[in-house]
Amino acid sequence: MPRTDSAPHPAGTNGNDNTLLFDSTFLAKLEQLSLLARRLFRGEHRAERHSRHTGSSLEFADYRNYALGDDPRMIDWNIYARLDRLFVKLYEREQDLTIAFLMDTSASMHWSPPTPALETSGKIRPSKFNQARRIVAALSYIALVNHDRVNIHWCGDGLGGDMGFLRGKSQFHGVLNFLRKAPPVHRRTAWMRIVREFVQRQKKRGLVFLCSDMFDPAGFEEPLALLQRHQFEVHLLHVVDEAELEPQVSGDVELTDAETELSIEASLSEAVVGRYRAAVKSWLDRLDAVCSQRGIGSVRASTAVPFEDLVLRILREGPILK
Amino acid sequence: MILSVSALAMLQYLTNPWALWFAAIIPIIVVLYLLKVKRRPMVVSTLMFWEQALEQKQRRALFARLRQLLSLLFHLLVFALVLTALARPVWDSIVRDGGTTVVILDNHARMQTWETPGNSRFDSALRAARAILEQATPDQPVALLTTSPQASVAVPFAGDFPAFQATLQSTQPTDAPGDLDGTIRLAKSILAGRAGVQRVIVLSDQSPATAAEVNATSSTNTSPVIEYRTIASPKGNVGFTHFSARALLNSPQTFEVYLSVQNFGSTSVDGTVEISVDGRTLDVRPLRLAAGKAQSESVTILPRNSRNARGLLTAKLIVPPEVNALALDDLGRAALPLVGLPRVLLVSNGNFFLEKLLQADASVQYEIVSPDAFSTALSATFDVFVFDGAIPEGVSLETWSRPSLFVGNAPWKGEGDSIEQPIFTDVQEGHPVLRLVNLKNVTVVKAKKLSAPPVSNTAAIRWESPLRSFEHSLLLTGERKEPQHRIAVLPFDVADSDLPLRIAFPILISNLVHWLTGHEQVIASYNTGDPVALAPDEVMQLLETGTNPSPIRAQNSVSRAGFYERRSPTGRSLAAVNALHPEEGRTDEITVNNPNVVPASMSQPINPLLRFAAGLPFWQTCALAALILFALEWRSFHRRITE
Repeated sequence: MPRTDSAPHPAGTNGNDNTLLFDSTFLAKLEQLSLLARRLFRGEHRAERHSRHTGSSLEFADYRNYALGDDPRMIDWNIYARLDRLFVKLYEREQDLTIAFLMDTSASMHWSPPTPALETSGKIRPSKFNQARRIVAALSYIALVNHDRVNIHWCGDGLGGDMGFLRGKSQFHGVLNFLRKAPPVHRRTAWMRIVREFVQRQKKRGLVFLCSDMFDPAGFEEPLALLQRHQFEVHLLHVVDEAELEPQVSGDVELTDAETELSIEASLSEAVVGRYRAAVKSWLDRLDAVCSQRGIGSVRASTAVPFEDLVLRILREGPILK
Repeated sequence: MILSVSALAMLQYLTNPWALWFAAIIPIIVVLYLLKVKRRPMVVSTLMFWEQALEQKQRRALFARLRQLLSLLFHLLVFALVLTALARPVWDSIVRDGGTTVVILDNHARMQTWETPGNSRFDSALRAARAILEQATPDQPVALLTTSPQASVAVPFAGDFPAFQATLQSTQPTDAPGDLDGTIRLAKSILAGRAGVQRVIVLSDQSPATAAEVNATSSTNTSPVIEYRTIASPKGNVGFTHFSARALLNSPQTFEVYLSVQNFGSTSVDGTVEISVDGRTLDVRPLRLAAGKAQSESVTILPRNSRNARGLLTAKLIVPPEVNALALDDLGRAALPLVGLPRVLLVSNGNFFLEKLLQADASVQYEIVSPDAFSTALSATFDVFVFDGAIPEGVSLETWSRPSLFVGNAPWKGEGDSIEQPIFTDVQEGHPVLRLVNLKNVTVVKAKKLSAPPVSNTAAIRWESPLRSFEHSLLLTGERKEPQHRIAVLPFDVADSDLPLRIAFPILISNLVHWLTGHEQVIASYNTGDPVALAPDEVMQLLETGTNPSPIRAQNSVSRAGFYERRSPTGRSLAAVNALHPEEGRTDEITVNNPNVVPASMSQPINPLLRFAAGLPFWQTCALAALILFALEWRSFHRRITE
């Protein structure tokens, strides 16, 4: 039966969802971090992030000749004493950064293996969607603490609703509320369409985080390239489930695609499962190679890795957090 | 049109064409195929990688369709095999075209020869017979004949295999020679009155030497077709060709065994002959026989005589099995009469000749007593009494029932006259008491005339006069069966003749003593196939445990080797039956140059499974193939591996 927009909401998206609860110790650790941007983007508000514009911060930027109308307080009198010429000191203007999260809400993100595996803590391993939601919430908190502008978009077969830009630590509850109200499960992901709609809607350039398993039959190269062509700095949070990498199945089965709902009958021998592993590894290698060539920060977020370990260690080791 | 004609032609191969109506079930199979249970469903996040793992999508779909089609074809093939099995096709032309068949199953002794371990010639012949008999129908009846011990109809004409089943299961090769020629004649005679095509199939290890012989047996148009199927290959064999035993005259408890062994094979053989009595080994003789050679030997044995001794003498030939394909002739048997020395009491006032003779006879234990000292209380102490002249008081034909020889007088009142110088005019040389007795030139001075005993006293005694002088008896013997009693009267004093000076004297007296005991030193021995001369109330029963064949009665021939107990109203005795026929031991003489002859080595499949399948009738083979295909189909398409 094909899923429609009236399909039920995914598990864990009601008001009592406790997957998005963070304790204060963890939040304090997050406040020590900030999101990395290789490039400088024009911001709208003063913030704590360097910009290419000079301003009134304490960070010295450059000198220039004095011109009429300049504030006499900016004249460097020591230079004038030595060179007998008027120079004005320029300071960097610290601006905010625009950060957008594109959250994949397709059926594959909500898929769980037939026999749920357990984390080391004894809890049932989360789905890829829940894992991605928690990562986005944590990264949003880091951005909000640094006075960056944060927006979250739901993505499926097109660009869905978004949260709207929020700024400041006090808006974190708004982020959580938005994440808790996830839209109905989309049948499939169409990243090209999503990106086209996103670049049209998002005029402010900045960081873009793709939170997805990237299972798009149309491929992932074109959407990533399109984002970069529109001057976005792209980061990929590639969420995977261990059961996808190492399937523990055998025998005669009827395999059904969670997104397309197409089925195939297969006799899964050791050889077939081996070929599957090889295909997955080849695809992952190609994804890593594309990200590396295009300078896209890519982090593989496995559902098997505990969330705190993922944020505090793996994302910091990657090119996303400092 | 051609197809329908072919289909109609195929119907004639089916003995049960109505089974084809079951073909109406085919649509049900197709429906069941369409409704078959799906596979274990499993949702995956994406099929991208599975499709790569399962190769090209279209190719996979095509393969899947083909695979499913193969499953349906399997179903239909299984059903077709079942239908074929139910229709019971036959391929034999004569059976199919109609006609009468006689199967001759040769079951003579040589058919016990091992062709391969666990498979004798008879086993092969039995399988071949079974394959033919299973094709019998009411329109194409088949009869089963056997050859041994004589030609006989095992199952008369029948058109249903169950009629043959019990006979096939019970028929065994005999230990006797067979009469193949007589069986073929019998087959021809029972076929004579039947119409249509006639055929005789001979399943044997014997075959005519050339095709001309085959044609000779069916030279006329009216004669049935005789088809020889020789189920044998040349094999080596070593066996007894002769075996007998006899007691020594001078020592009846000692026996002389004569045996003859022949090597029928093409290689020399080393072995031993083990001689034992009642299971106790007495002698082991080494044996070395060149190819085709025979060896004869005489062995003297002294078996132990005890209370439980039965005197079952066996000689066992022990040679390597690879040169000895027939075990039947590896055993020689004889039943020894183990009896103690008879105790003889001479009641005499003194008779030099009788005393010395009985004293010298090693086959008796002798004592002497005077008539005055004789008492009837001694009757239980001695086996035989010799009354010389005077007859003690209390001994008469009415009161005395112990084995007795009366010399010079009879225990009844006679005529009292004498015969002067009688001559021996009638001598029954076949009588036991006159065995080897030569009375030529024996002179008797005088003898008493023997009158007939009183009829009232001798009603149950059969009197004989094996030695006569014209109408006068010079030796009278009487025998009563129940209770057993023997008596002999020699109506002249040995001192009144020159008989004691003749060699006939000790032989005559010894014969008389042993005849009176009732234990003749006769070793009853037969060969399989020999007719047995038994009295109407006598039977012979095989002793060996595990077998319980019908008792042998008068005029029957013995077909099974072994020790037998011979029962009669008067008592029991043992007899041995051997299977020592040199022609049955020639397991190497197989003629295979006949085009109709199929050597056993060629007719036998090597693989046990193939041998098993080849032994099945066609419809059972179809059923077996259907079962195997069904299992394969299930294994390939329906078996699920659960995690």
